Amino acid sequence: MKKQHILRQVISSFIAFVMSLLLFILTMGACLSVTVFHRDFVLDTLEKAGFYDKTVNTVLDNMKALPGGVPAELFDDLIDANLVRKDIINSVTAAFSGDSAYRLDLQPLKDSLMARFTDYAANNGLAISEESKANLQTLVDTCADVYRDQVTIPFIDTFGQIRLMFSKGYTVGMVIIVLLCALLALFLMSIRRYKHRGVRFLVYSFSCAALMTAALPAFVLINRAYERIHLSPQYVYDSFVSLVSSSMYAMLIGAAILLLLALALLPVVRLLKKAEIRKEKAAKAKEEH
Amino acid sequence: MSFPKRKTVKRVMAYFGMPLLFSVIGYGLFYLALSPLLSPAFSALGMVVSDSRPDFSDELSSIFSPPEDTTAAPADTVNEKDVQMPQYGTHYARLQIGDAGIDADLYFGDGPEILKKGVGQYMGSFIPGSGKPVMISGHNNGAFHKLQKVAEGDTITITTNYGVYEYRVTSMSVHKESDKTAYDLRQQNEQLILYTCYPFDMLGLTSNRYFVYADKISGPSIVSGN
Repeated sequence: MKKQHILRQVISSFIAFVMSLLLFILTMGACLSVTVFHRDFVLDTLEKAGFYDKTVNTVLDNMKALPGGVPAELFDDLIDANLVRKDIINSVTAAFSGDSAYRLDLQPLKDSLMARFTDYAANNGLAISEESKANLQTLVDTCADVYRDQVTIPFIDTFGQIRLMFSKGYTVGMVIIVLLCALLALFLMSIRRYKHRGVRFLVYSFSCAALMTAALPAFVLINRAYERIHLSPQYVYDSFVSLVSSSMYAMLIGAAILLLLALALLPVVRLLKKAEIRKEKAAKAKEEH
Repeated sequence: MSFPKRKTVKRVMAYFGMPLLFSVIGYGLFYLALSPLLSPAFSALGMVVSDSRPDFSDELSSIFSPPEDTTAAPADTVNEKDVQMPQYGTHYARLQIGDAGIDADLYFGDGPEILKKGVGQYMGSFIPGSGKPVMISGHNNGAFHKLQKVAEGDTITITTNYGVYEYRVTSMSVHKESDKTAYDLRQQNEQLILYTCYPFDMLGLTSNRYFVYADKISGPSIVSGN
């Protein structure tokens, strides 16, 4: 009898442990899918960090710093935040959908620059020789490179590939995990004579999953190693830090939900136990009669 | 403690102990399963994460303070312990070419943010006084616009915290930007090499560079001391 009890305890513990791992994976997957792996979340974070306006300022400053022999005023109003927003949205969308063929269309920018330079030369009586044309073209190409470098989010292609791998198995994976959890819970309840003890093991599972889900973001947020990453310029750094911290907070919320579910099961344990005590008392009374 | 109370305490402890035990085992298993991926990931992270948060202040740092006593006889040598080595982006000297009207702050490094403010020493060259080539660049529409007025025999002065260095211009030439024969950074002479884009007032980005070469005529040599 005692051996059977120990065996039941071991099996129940094992099932609870496996279930806690599954719940942990489920929660982490859900958190990632609504944060860093969600296109709108990423774009929203960039918007809040003022990414687009600051990119415009940086692009124009860098273009003006080139020793191109043209006045800085020629670059004024060359680009705006809407253009930057459009290009970034397109590149993030392409990265997240695995479109490796996507390229920024820089031709309108190049045409606009060349038109401004040639108008400047014409208005100031400057002859454009073949050599000047070639040098202006080099300046235009360099300016376009400056724009592309600032508008391209670092590591977005690599990140997009990781996200694609994640999303391919995500839905099916989540459904399988939920079904497995349900089956494990049913099996756990079926092997326990006293159901409240089965529910107790479910509490252990949810609590463990909450603890595991909270541990990683808590460590990251306390350690703050992500704030020591050297990304520049500052708005890229700010966007990255904001993305990471928001994702960590989302994981903490996921852990809190799991903990609430565990706490919600505690009264169920108590109620089931009381019901079983009543049942046993009634059965005993019937026997005595 | 009575038996039912002990059982209750045990049960309550289990609500904390079991999840903790599961967590430790769970994280242990994940670590074992993912360790082949974790090691290279942490190594890669180690290359981009430093000990402190990045500094985005616009101001480039300065360690330059012009010598107060200009009447004292200049020393022939200076101990390397007395020389504060500049870091990238540090303003550490002043470059002047009186005849051409050039007076610019000299920075260590030659990135775009530096050339906006003054002239920059190429980090693959050496600081004045080291007995080896010093290579400095500037924009032709900025600090080095008047480099075209420099002539043979002109004096170039570089003032640092540890000494004042003078160089005499020996020659000027134009080379393609990719022409590595335009300078020799492995020579054992302290040659000053200034360069900028050429032609000076050309529209667009040019592929030519205007070089000014000068030999050291005075200034303390940096020596290692005990």
